[in-house]
Amino acid sequence: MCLRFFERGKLVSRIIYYVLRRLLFLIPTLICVIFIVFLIMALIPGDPGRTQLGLEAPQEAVDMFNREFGLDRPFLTRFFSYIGGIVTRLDFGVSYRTRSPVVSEIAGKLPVTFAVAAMSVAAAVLFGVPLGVLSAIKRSTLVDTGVTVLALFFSAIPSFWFGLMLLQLFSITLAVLPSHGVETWRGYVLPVLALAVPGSSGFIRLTRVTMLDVVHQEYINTARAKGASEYAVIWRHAFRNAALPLINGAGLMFGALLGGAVIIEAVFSLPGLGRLLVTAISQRNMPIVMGCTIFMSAVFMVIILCIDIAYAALDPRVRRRFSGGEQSG
Amino acid sequence: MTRACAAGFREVNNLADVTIAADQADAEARRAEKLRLLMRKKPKYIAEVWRVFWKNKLAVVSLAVVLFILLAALCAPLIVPYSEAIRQDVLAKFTPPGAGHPFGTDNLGRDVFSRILHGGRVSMTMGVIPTFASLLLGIVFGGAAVYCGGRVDSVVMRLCDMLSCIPGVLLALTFVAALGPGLENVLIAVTIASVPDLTRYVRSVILNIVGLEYIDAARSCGAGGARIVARHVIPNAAGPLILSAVSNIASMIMIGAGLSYLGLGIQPPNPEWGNMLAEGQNYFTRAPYLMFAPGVVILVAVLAFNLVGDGLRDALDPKLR
Repeated sequence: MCLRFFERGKLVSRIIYYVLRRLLFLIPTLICVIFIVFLIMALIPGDPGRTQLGLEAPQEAVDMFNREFGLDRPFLTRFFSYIGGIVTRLDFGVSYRTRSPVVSEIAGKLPVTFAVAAMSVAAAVLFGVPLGVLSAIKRSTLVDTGVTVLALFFSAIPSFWFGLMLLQLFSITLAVLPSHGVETWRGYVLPVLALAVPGSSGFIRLTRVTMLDVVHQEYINTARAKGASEYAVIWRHAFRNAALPLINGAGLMFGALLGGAVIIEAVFSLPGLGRLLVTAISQRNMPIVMGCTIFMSAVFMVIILCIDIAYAALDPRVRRRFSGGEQSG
Repeated sequence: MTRACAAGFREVNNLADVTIAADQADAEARRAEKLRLLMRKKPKYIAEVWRVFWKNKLAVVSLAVVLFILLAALCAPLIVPYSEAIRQDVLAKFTPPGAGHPFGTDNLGRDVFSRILHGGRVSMTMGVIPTFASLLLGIVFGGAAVYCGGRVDSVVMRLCDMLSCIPGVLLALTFVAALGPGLENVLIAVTIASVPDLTRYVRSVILNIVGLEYIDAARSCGAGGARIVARHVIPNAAGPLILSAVSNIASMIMIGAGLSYLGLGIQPPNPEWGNMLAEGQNYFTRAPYLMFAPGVVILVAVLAFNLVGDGLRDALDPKLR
């Protein structure tokens, strides 16, 4: 007992060490991402001050604008002072338009985007996984075909068009849900639905494939032979082993939604990060564009890290690697 | 005696000559037969793939739909002149679908059918061109990574890792932000955004092939690098790569429509399925059909490409053949 406790402590410390190492590794990666974004921004043809102020603006005003935002300095100087600003003061620069810090602009929009993305992933999983399991256990029946066809259709529906149709039906024709804004929870229903239904097709297919892989293995027969109920066999024995790829899928969908929910936010006029980004793109408000991209990439990297940790925590094969084989016996 | 001897020799010599000639002819015939077999091998493989594909009726119907859409996009100017798609006729605005206008007219009295037809050209361009451009770049980088190995390989792969830390759509948006809205810029942005994933995919496909034993066998037979690449790697990699291209077209059409919907793609008055949705959105209480037609077309196109991809995957899978 005591020994086991000791070993568990060792395992935890190894995992903590792994997480810390990965977190530390995020820093150079993030710096490279910032460098890439800087390089992309260097592609902009013409003078940023001129682009912002228009062709008629006097040259002095353009020069002043460029000096104000430090755009007259050479590329690498700007890059290092940007990094310095982030490290020392969490300063991502200020918006060309409002002159307010990018961080506060992003922070104001963040909760909405996060809420929509998280709820959409949750809804897609809750909707897709049972259908996928059902499809796998009723393999080659009418149910399986029906679910597969459904998944095919969902994967081909453009989410923004689906959102527009939902808007039409529930906000205009039936008038039961608001068409824009998120003042109440009711405002979230349609955007989440619009993202979750097309998103669920991936989970249906993934669950079906992984479950089909698992249900033909020996240990499932063993579980049945031991007299476990069908429910227990499916959910406790089979699904637990099929669930790991789903964690990966959920994480990647969340990451994709951070960037990809842009269009849905436009459809439902949600005050989220995506709208901030699209407005900034049309205004060529580069500090905001850079801030959004870097921030979302950082979140995406953290999500991928979380997926890896979840794999390590849930998969005994990976876990064993951490404890250096002590648990193998 | 000597004469007889000499004659005998000559005869033997002749005989030997004949034998050698016969051997040569034989060898030549065998070589020709082998060549013929080799030449036949490829069409046979394609025929086999086609046979399996043909059995999947859904995939065949989808292929017909895909060809129809591509043909319609190619021949659009022959069916309806482009001027028809942007010609405004304010008197005829919001005409519901009917005889003169099969899909109705929009808020400026433009014929929705012509706009869908010509918009399809743009949408197909957005689906096809970035797919093949990024596949080509992926083959160049991925191939270089495998072929050169060592430092080149790790530099290419680390670059891909860095770029794929930025979610794909976001990377494309960032490029559009830098280059400015417009069709060409969106094409460039979407292409670059999908290069890292494709490079990694191509690299893994090629590595899988190079790791197979028959490549070692070919090499031990004295085949050079160029011969191995041309005769073994390219034919074997073609299947998975075409497959990934077909499935990619579907998602590119979707992303392209999304970017156009946001107003970042081709600019009005030029039609595109995504920006037609955005324009129709403002009038949907009055003319819901404005949003219906472009949406359904996107759905059908994406579905058809996906199904062709699925059918192709099954047909290329030797386990299912």
